[in-house]
Amino acid sequence: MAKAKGPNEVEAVLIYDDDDERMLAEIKQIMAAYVPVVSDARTPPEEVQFISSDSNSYFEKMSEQLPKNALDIVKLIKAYRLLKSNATGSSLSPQAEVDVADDSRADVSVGQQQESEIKASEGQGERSFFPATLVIKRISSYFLLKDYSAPSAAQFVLLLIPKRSREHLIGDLEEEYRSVVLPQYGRFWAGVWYWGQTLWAIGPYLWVGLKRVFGWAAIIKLIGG
Amino acid sequence: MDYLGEFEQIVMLAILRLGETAYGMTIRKEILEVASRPASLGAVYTTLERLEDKGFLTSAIGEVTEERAGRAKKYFRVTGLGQAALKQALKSTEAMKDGLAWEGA
Repeated sequence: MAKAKGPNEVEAVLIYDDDDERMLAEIKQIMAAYVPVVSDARTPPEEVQFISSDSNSYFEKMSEQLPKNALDIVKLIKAYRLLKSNATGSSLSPQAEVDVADDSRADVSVGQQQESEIKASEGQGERSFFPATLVIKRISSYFLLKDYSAPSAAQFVLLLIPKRSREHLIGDLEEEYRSVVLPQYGRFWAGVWYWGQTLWAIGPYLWVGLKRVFGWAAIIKLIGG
Repeated sequence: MDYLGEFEQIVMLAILRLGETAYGMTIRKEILEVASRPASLGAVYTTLERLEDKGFLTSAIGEVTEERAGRAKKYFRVTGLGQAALKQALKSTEAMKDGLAWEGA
């Protein structure tokens, strides 16, 4: 199975429940223009982070949480379904350009003829026969900063670190968390790791602080204060 | 002249090994991989600050990346004074080690 290469990529798995191999091949071809389609299966893999269905309301509900190119895929699938709902049998080109405006209901720009077909079918209402479910598996936190940023309470604790190194230390921790730990271990264990590192990191600073405080106390005691 | 502690020596050696890419995360990783010694970022940074105060290191603010949530890297380099102190410390350790008969060695 091919793995997504970079931290900015989204890995997609196509889940299908239909035997229309031609249609699936076309969908995969379309998706491949946007994301690495790593596999197809009849049941979602266990590690899947997000599952979209072909329900419009579900798309719209989840669209805010989706990375941008995943949203593009959702649009592609919707357009594909509209095209397929026409009797013309035309298919969507893999080179189709997606309108990436931040609007989940935006249409896919696929050339004038196909666009008019989409509009025509919109008038008829969408038929829900799309056989496949798209599964987006999160590879990195890059796109989903809201959901996969480091634990905020731990970041608050890190404010105990003196200003001189605070920004750089938190940046190092954040970099390792996002680029190494999170993709490898998932959100829960990455959160546990981050907390552990946080407590471990502030230890030496607390020790230095304590030494300063008790050092002064000892001096005051010595001079009889 | 300030003397170098054992962990200070390890941190300085890691910086020398890393060259241009020595910042907190890579220094910690180098220490773990080469010296097989886990160290917290806090321990690394307190040591780096101490060495910088002694004049053994200089630092420069590096690039900001999105992976770091917009926080800049801080790159470190060993100064001439730092290299001299490190050489002296390693030489002293070697001298103390010479002639020792290690049990079970």
